[in-house]
Amino acid sequence: MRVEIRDDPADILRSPALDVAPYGARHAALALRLGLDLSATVDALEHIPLALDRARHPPVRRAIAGLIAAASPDIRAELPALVARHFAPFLRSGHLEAMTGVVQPCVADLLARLAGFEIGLGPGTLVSRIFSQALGPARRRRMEDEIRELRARIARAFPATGEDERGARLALAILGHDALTGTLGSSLAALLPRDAPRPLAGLDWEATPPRTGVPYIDRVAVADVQIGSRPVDRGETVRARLDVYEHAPAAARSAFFGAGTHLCLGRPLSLDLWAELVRLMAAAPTAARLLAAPMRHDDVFHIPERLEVEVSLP
Amino acid sequence: MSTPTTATIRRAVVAAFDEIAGLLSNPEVGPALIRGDDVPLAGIELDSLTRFEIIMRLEEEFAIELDDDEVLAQTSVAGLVAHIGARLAGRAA
Repeated sequence: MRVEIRDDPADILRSPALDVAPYGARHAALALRLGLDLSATVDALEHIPLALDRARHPPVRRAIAGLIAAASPDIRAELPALVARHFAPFLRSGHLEAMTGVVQPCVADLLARLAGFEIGLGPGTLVSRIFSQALGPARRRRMEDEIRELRARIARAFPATGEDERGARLALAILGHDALTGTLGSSLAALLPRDAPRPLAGLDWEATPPRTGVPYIDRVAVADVQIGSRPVDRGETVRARLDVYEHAPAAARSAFFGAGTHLCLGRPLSLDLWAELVRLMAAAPTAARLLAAPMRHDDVFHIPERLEVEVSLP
Repeated sequence: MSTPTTATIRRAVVAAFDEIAGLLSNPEVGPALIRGDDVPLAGIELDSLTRFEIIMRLEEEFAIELDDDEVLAQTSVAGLVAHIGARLAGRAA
């Protein structure tokens, strides 16, 4: 049974009686039942803190935090150029499909710098659907193949490193991809006018993205617990709705990145990237109108399939 | 390759449910399925792993990719048959 408690997701995420959903065990059970080899998927989940219970996740989280800390100074220095390069289509007139033309390449570029290798995931990648409960067997097999390919790339790029560091780099390549793509894409969809072109510089660019690519996080009760006014039985899944913050003031929206022991490690860089984007857009000489923003069919992420944008010179 | 008919898809769907979950011997729904009537999927209790097994069988039968939430969104066997039919027609177009 799943319980949704909409008023304060932070209570759920901070509760010591709630832990992560058993993603690895679910994949292992599925592989056994269906006779599939999902070993690379299960192994990848062993290196993703979000998929590990409290007892196992601290060293894995430390390894990823170490890689992020080491890469962050260079990335921060490169962010203005990176954003300017990828978002340049917003500065000249024309029709633009901004997901494949701008957002996805920008996120891929950022993650490659963070993970330290050319990730090479295409727009249709399934790798970051690793948290999906809905993905069918055929897509899980494709995801497994993609994860094997990623592991091979890491092994070629870092032949002398151990399994733990390779696992951390794999996690970096997987983790932030759709969360950041979805946050940027759905925030642009929320900000761009739909009725008539308006100058980009005049739009309401705030310090925090107005939308999140991660609308919820599931937790499982490891003991009977009271969350707010709701009793939750051991074994129940509790859904923390992060998208409730979409209606909060900008200062409160950093709560999009979660709370407690699994607070998103990518939060500072994501906010820095958004700040650069805001700086660029607030000085843009162009106007824009959103023509279409159909959402991707996805049970985990809130992510536009396409962002059709008309950019013009006012 | 021609698109399978609705009757062919229905036979394959019923066979997958029967071979994996013994549906035709279920007294609640078996007789109706044998008669060719529609049956609500809500009346067929399946755990998620059994559902995935059925999905995999259908994916292999029709060479399509089918997600669990697509199947869960269907309310009846006829709805699932129509959904698969639409996917196959979309692929053929």
